[in-house]
Amino acid sequence: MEKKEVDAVVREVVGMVLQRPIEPGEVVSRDSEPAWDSLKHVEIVLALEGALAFRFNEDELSGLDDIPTIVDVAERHLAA
Amino acid sequence: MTHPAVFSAARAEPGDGAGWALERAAWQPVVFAERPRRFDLLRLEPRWPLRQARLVVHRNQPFELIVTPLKRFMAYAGFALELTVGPYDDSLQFATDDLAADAELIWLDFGRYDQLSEDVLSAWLRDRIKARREQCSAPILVADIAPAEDSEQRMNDRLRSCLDGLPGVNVIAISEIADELGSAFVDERARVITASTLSDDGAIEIARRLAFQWLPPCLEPRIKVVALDLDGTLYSGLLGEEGPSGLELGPAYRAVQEALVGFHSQGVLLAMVSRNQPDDVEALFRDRPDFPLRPDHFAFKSISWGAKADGLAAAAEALRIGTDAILFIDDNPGEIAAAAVAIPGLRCLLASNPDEVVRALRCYPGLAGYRVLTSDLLRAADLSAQDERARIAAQAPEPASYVRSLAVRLGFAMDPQHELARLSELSMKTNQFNTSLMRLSEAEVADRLTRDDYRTIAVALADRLSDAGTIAAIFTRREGRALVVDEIAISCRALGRGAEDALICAAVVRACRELGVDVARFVVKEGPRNEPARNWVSAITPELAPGATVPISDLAKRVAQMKDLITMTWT
Repeated sequence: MEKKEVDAVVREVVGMVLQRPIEPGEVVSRDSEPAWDSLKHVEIVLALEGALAFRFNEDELSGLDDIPTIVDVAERHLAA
Repeated sequence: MTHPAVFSAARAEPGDGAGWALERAAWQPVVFAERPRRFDLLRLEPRWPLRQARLVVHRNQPFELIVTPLKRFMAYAGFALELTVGPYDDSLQFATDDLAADAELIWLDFGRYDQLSEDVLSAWLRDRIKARREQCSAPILVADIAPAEDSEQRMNDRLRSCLDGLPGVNVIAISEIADELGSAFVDERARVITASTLSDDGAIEIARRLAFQWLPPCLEPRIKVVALDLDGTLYSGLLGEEGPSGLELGPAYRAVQEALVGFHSQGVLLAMVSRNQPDDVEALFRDRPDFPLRPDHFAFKSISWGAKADGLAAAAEALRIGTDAILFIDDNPGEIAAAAVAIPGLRCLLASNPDEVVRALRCYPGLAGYRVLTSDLLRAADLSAQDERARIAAQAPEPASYVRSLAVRLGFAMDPQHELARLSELSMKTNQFNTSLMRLSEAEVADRLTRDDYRTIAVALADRLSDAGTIAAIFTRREGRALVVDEIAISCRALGRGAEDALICAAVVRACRELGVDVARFVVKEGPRNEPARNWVSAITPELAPGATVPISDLAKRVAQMKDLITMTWT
């Protein structure tokens, strides 16, 4: 899967969990989104795992604080 | 075979009955998947009409991961879920003010009470839930401990026994989901972030069971009839072209038929609605003894080339149920769409593949999760005697001889605790002969059964052709020097045997005598379908203003007139 496809899936999932559309290129992070609390964070992680068919490592979870980071980590898993 | 009429319905746009039915069918691969994916559920947006359902959750652990899947599954079941999740509260103070919920859920991490013995914990929990029971009348679901090893399983058994007898309180088996999923029920990664180890698969399956099995009995009547297509639904192949021997049963279709036989044994009626030649259908069952389904399993058959909606309407009339109590299963989306247009509110399942049908039948909202009552098991036999009753009525020279020939027996019970579920079911689910549509929950009925100035009567009916079981509930109370008959609810399959007068009047007279009053007043509320009940009350009080009292001597005379025709006994 190409990076831009992974980015699209991540944006779609984050948007569905936060219940608002996320535009391509929009800067979205846990700091910028009040609704992105710990439980929403887990929901984003779980939905992405189902969408992309891999599991994040436990030590990766707390660092997935913004869309570019999530995309990078997801890409590494998909390439493995 | 696709007919032009149904093919055009399959192209209907969202926003009408056909479109809604086909959109709902498109959700089936997701909601009935072996393991639904959160990503797929998030993408679903319902575009059909939904009824409101309100759930309050009292908890001391996270519930939030269950919320999104729950709302999607509830939408498939036909409900827009309004959810109130209370604060984290180990003490179960029930801080929320919401007392108007359709159901309440107690969602506890029992590990937080490890310092309490089983005796102390179960006694405390019973007290708290009993207190909540006194505040609200909604059904209360209590989630058990999961996963459950030996000590947790013992506590689950204590939970069930300590809550047994509390009306409208049910323990839901999250532990069964944990058993089925095994290690997949737990995800240790989430503990650091949320203090919960519930996995995604666990959260989604809990959401599905809540929406499809545990909440529907709180919200709507059970599906009473499953109406079935034949070709492509119960077997592979076309009967009219390949003949009985050319059809394939296979393990998957066999599993579908066996599931339906299972529902039949629980009192769900089966109806056949098929476009075929009647002779071919007769040959099918004669020449295929390997089919688990047999002709006797079907309470109704419509085998013709007419519209299936007509067959479904005829089934509803013959079986004396509303079309909203039917689940229609067909492999043809055009047939589904056409039926949904003709019968608004009809529940449909598209039989795209038999494996999906088996999974769907295991958990279909409105089918699974309901207690099987004696009345359910008697329903099919009672209805099958209807044709014979109609024949007797046609030959009877006058109504009294018809009633006498049936040898009707009425059995009355005053304030019967053991009939709590059936009394509530009659209040909740009867539409035609229900005088005031109070829709009493089990908790509300239980409250009436304990009050000194209230009398609740359950009536069972049998005749020489069949035993109908408990078919009537009459709810009364004393107000001043009068008996107020708050509600009369009679199952419509009990009507037409000439027993309504005796049934109602005998119950009301006895209640008056026990409460020391000599007049009765009937509460009547107009509903869309309860004209038969309203007409009966009007006939009893034709010269009186609506709401006026009737002397019990008048009612007693009616009972006396029927004594030679109908046997009446009190237990």
